[in-house]
Amino acid sequence: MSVFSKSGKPDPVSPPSPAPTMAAPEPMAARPRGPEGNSVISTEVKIVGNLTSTGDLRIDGTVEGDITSRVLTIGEGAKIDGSVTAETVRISGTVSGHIRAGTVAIARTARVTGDITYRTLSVEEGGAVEGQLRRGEGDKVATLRPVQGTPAAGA
Amino acid sequence: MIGSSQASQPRTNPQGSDGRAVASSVIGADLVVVGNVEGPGTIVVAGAVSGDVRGRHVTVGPGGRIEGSLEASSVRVDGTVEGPITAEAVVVGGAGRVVGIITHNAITIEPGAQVDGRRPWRPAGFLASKRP
Repeated sequence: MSVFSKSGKPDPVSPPSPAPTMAAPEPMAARPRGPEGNSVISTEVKIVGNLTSTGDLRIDGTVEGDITSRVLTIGEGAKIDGSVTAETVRISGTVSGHIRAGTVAIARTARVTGDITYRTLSVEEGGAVEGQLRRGEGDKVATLRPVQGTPAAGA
Repeated sequence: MIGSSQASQPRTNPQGSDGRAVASSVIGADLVVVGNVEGPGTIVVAGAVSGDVRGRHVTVGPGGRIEGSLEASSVRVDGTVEGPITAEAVVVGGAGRVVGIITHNAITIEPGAQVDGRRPWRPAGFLASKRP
């Protein structure tokens, strides 16, 4: 660095930090993404309405409405009142509504009331399903756009 | 798990009805919610919500969008909010855009932000006394 140089490395101008009395939420970049996917609806959050995701979605809260996702994980404490459409869905919570997916995994703690249309189905011992189970041939969820133009996984 | 690392833990941990700390929710960039979202904790909106959002700390990320009302203890907008905002503390970042009335106790509008609407001030604690 030249001795005569006035401007060495300029001090980065730090953006004015928010100084409200309450703890302000930090900018988005600092927040890590959940390992299960791009979106997480945590416990105690209630959504009244429909969710449509082209990526991964994990729900631990309550949803009154329909859910469409590529990969969907319904946690043990979750309550869904509406239909579920996904390429892959893993259910550990309570679902009241029809399920239409490629791969369906019903876990031990799952309580499903509604018909399930599937390509691949597994039910863990203890999982409860009240409804019709229908195997759909090539029942890929065609409504979902493949991520980044790559063909969606699966047949 | 979201919210569990030191760096991202808010100073005041939101508490659920059972007193335990509540995890953050993330409405990712690939998620669209048509309806209302309500929770006692932190909500990060990187996707789109067409409806009302109510939380404790709500951040609307750079690509995020809320069309509807937004109510929280603290709000940070780096994306777009079209609708009224009611919060004790509001920060609108340089890339943020708000069209609607912002009812607040403390507001910071950073250079570059587009804010269109009245910004009525309220005394500290106004939100707590408003809520049941």
